[in-house]
Amino acid sequence: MRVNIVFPADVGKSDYIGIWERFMGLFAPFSKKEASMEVRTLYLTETGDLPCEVSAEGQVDCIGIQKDLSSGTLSKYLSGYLVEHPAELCIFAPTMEGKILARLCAAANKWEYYGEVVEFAEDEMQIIRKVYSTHKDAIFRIDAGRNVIVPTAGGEKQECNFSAQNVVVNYEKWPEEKEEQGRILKKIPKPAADDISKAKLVFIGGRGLKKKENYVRLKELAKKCGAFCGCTRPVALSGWEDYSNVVGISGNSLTATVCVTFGVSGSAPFLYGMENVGRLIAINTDPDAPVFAAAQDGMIEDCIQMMEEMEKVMFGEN
Amino acid sequence: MEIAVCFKIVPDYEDVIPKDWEDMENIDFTFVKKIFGCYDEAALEAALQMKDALQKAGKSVHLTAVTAGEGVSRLFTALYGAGFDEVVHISDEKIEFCPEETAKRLGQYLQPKKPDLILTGRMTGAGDSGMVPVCLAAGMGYEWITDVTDVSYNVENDRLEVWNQDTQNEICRVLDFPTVCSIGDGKHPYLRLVPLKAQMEARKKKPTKYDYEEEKEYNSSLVRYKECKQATICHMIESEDIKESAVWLMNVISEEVR
Repeated sequence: MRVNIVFPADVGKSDYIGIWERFMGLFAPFSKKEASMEVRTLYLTETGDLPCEVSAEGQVDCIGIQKDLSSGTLSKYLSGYLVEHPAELCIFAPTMEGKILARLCAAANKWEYYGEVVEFAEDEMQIIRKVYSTHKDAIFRIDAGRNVIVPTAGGEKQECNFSAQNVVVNYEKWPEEKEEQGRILKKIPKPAADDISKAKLVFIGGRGLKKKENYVRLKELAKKCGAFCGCTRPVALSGWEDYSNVVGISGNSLTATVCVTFGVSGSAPFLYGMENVGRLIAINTDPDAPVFAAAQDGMIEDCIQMMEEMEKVMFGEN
Repeated sequence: MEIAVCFKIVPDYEDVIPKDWEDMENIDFTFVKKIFGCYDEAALEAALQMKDALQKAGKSVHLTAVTAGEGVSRLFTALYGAGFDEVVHISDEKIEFCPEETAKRLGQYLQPKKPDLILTGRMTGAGDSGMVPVCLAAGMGYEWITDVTDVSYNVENDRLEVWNQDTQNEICRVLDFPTVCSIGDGKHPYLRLVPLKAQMEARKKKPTKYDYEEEKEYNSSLVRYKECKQATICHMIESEDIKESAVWLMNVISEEVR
């Protein structure tokens, strides 16, 4: 089987190894079957230099691309490259740009696209992908022709060999072209840590808080703990909080190192906003609440009592 | 100027009770309240904001909202009330996990109309592939830009100014018509509230029905649903009483703050 692997230019310098390990985890079923794989790797970089050690056997291409090239223009070059090097599977690194380029290439060439892929099913050419966040995955048949795949960032990983021998790296530069369509007028760096999506410590209140007064109390507690406070969509719909602090698919996606949920059940749209949280600690009275499936630590406790106890700890009453 | 917004009506997954997710054959969403896809709602409002601005500048605008799949009259009424000139409903057929088909249906209706601008949400649900807008743009030969936060029209040079985001920046780009813009974390995430009088007026209007003309069968590659493989293993904090749990939690928080 022929496989093309594409690393777009927005992969962080320290993220290459993790992504390679994720790819190796994805290929595990093929390795088990000892299926032969012909891998071709494409690194797109703004410097034109190889961004990480070569980790796969096979052909490696390192393409220098023009800074600020729009995804539309870049995908035209990339499509040309992928047509020139046909493969049954074309796997993109799960970054923002990776997902955009993957979709553009698939749509332009009428290839099948599968995003949020968790793993390959072992028996046949089938993939398992997320369809309802932590509630449900689904198995899809892979087309016999050409398939574009973007895996989930989290999931099965496997160590890989970073000292592959006999690999030839081909350096190229894709022609610069002056872009009129998509020309950049202004570029403003996103502000750092001034909103909930960038905060490192976040408390989130759900319907389990029962009334607005308790949510206000949670906000106070968060403030004293140096945390940002957000809420679920039903809490905002109840008028307890402004919509700008909603967490989930219809609001903010968090990147917090620690996030504590108070009385949040953990619906699929909510958990979508939690995918990049480092450590999720869930407090809920219902042991079957879906939030526990996504949490690293859980407490089966009443969230209002927990707030009271936390306040006591804070003021030295315990 | 002709502006079209493609949207999808989806179940409010917040209302699905945990037990119902356990059925692996089918998920019954029939009893669940229906809403606009959250990004689609932002796209609908973005179109209305643009209409307001264009009309202020003396330009005439025709705003169409188009959906393929499930239709809900309450939501169609809300769109007429909010200021859409036409709401189009393409068949009632439920199309899941086949974005090319949805794009084809939308494209067949939109192609002869040749809208200057098509707005969509960047995706409709948590596991949605986000492929419909891309396939629609490819099928119609339009440019496509995603993760758009705001769209405005520059009257002086007759071009679009589109703000979108990448991982580190907010970027303002100049684009020519025609273009498909997929709205992400839009500046206005919710559809405006409609005054009662406008709501009463809107109730008289019905959506235009459009029947898709090609063969109705399509192949989805979905084999079956399966339980999620739990990526994380939840460690339950067991303590003698809630005080002990609170002390543990405050220690974790203190460490993080440090």
